[in-house]
Amino acid sequence: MGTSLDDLLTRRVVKQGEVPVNAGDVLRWSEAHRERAARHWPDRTADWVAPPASVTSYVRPLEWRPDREGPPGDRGSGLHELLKTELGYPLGIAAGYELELHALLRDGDRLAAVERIASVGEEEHGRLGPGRRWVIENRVEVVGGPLAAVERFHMLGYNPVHRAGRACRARATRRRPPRRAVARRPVPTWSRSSRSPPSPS
Amino acid sequence: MGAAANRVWTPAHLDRDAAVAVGVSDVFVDTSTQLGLLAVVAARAAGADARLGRAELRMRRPILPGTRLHLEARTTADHVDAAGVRWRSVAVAARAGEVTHSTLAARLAVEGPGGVDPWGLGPERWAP
Repeated sequence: MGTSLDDLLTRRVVKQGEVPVNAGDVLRWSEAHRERAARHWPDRTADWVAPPASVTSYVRPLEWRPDREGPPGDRGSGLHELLKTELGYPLGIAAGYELELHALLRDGDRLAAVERIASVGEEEHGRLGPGRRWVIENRVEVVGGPLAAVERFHMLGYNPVHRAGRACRARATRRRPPRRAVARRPVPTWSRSSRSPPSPS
Repeated sequence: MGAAANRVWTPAHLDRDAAVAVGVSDVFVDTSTQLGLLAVVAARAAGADARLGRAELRMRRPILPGTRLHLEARTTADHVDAAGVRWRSVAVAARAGEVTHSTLAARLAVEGPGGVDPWGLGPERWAP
């Protein structure tokens, strides 16, 4: 069944976190990010809470489990991938990320998120080539409880084949994947501008 | 370590070939790890026991293996809202030499007038 932009804009994707907030994951997050606040070290503080910036990690699915065939279907943003396809942009990069935090996350909390496309901009012609910007929003709640966070990925989808004129198009006609065409450029354009690098997750 | 802690398994952050396929010369630090690292620095700059309310991350250049980052934070504003919560704005920059890789604009609640504890605020007073 095909999709359309209007269809994608109305879609809501529910993501159920599979790992509840727990002391072990909080310790490892605090270790990895050099978190020093005692309230984020469960072995130091009985009344600990998860570091607020770790909220997304409790929505991401397990990579494998015995009752599921193959990898999880919602590892990243499915709507982002569908939108890239619908709009005809082979590449998408994260141009920014916003996080708004609400309820504290405590031991045993389970999280769920609803993902949607919050906005889609008009086509623009930037240094990367013709593209469009869009925002993927995840509204994260404690299951059976309050709002935990709202996160927004500001994405830029673009088509590098049109970016560099004939040379790049010639490479494309040699059936190289579009991403290779970008990879062969000596320096990504965004490294010389204020644009953000590819950082999709 | 950050990718694992954040449960980020996107290949471009873990596998060089996958990174090259999306136009980057090597694996690069993922969004969640950058957010975490810069947010922790923002909280330390804001003051003892600051609670993160809002963050906006801008990733200007990929952070590749071997990049030695210098994280620098400065407070930019301070105000008390109608609920009596003191909010502090902090700007963090992640630089390697003269090159800015990422920036974070954060808004954090700190202990306010009358000893308001930001970690004890319920939703009726929490407005990040």
